[in-house]
Amino acid sequence: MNAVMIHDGKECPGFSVDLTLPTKLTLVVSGKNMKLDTKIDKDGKILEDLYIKIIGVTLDGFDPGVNFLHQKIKLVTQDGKVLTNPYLGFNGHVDFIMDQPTVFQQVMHWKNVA
Amino acid sequence: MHIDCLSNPDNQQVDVIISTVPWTDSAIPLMAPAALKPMVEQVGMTCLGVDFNVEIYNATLYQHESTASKQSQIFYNADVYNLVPHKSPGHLINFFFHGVGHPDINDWLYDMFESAARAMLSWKPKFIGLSLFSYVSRHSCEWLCYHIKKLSPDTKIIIGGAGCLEQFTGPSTFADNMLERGLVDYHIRGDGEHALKQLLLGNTSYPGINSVDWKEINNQELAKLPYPDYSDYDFTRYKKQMLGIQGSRGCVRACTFCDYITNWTKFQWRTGEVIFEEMKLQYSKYGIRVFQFQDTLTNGNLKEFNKLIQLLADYNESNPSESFHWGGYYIFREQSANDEEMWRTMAKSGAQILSVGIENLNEDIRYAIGKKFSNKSITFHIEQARLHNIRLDLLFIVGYVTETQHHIDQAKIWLDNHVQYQDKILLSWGGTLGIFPNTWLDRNKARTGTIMIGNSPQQWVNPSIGSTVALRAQWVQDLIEHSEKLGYNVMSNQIDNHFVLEQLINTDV
Repeated sequence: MNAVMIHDGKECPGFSVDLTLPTKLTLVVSGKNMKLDTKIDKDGKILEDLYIKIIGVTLDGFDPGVNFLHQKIKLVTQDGKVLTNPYLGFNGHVDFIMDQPTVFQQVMHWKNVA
Repeated sequence: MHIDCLSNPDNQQVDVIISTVPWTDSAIPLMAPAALKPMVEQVGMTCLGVDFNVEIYNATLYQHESTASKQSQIFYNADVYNLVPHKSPGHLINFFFHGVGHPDINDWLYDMFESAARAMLSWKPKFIGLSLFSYVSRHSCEWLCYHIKKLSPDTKIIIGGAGCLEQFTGPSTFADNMLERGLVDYHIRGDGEHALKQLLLGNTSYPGINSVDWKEINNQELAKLPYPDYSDYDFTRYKKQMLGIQGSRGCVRACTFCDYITNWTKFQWRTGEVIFEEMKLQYSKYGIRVFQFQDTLTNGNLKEFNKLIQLLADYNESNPSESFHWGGYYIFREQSANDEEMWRTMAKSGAQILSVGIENLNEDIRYAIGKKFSNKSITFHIEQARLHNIRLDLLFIVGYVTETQHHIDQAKIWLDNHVQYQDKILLSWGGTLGIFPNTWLDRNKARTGTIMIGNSPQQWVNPSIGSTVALRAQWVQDLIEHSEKLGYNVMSNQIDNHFVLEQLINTDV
């Protein structure tokens, strides 16, 4: 089983897009068959899975930090559940909401300590 | 945001801007732009050399009472500097250290970077040189460069200074990353005066420009360097009316822990006469008579040091209302016959605060480090300093590779027995010993029995004597608490103690 990222109709391991802030970027996870693509044993332990793991996000080269990956990536599944995790193992979508007017303010907003 | 030092009401043009980058905990002017401005002018270019840091430093100063400032009350001139406090200075400092945001500061910081970039570019410079005093300037540097390059991709940006380097030797991850991302065009390391000059002349293959290797300035070259030009500085902004000055580069000692000497391998010095002439010239230009030596030691070359203090003492005697004062790093030597006279002359020369690397209060450890002066000599020098009303800042490193609990106990006994000096000395326990690349300690790990257990220089153990990271961190805390309990002045150093506090939390290391 191999998951692929599609951007502009092409497979890619990662991608970059030109954005004008403020904006929203939506990442859609689709085509996963939960019966076939997640193999579990009789005890419910996952033996093999199909997923996308987001390993990094940058805005103009600026990394919003590890907390962003683990606290701000929210996958909304097709049945409406919200999973906060960079590990995308269900069909659904992730909205990257960038509501700040500039790159600096957006990155700092993501890295806010308050 | 109006950034005073960069304002350009007459729409002037310069070829080069050299600026400091916030944030440095300094209540005195940072030297680099003033030192480099004349080098730029030597190649026929115009230059604006400014200390941007001070304006932002003042904004954070309201609540952040600088440790260094607290201990230098003697130099204060608190009524004259302009203070523009930010409402959340703590969050600002957190940004400078860690690059993190907060709703109270994000807009303000954006405005600062955008305004600084626009103000710099209003001068239409071909080059912008940014000086990073320490790693605390890195987040600012990154964002400032980003804003400059967004507005003017063709303006060449040069970075330099110790703040670009993780360690004195080896590659700089920070600078390499900035180069790869196109945020800067050049990184100068080491002695920057000649490298900058060569870069401006188009010789970008000169050692030190985007390279690990660089060329040390020798004695003759050091003597020929022009005096720093502070004409673009606004002295009303500084809490302390004091100028930096350099008497030497490198060190006469070869301490086992020191990575400074792996970078500056030779001791280079200026003559007493040249230093004295610079002091007089700066006083005539800026009216400032207090100098802080920025080199690692003022008395490395005793002959020149004695000449300097005699010149200053004679001058001060003849000009009591315009006397000079100075402070700087100083080394103790074994007591000699001339020392009482030297302390008398030092006092007359205007010495006020001397920072001395004692490192350890146990002779055996100090000797092993390479500092061969006895405890008896330490007491002699402290007594002389007390007699002549010269303040001593004593600097220590806790947890040498041979240090045990016995040594810590002995240090406490020393403190118990010297409480009479508590108001004349300041104790700076610093952090714990780090084993830095290319130092003697690094090259002799097998001999000393030390084993690195992590990437940080402080992450080492010596199983033969049970020395661990957590134990050494605990020793620092013990010594701080013991000396505070006895009434000593103790330096609280946020940067050095960060590692110690981390280790106290993470005691399983």
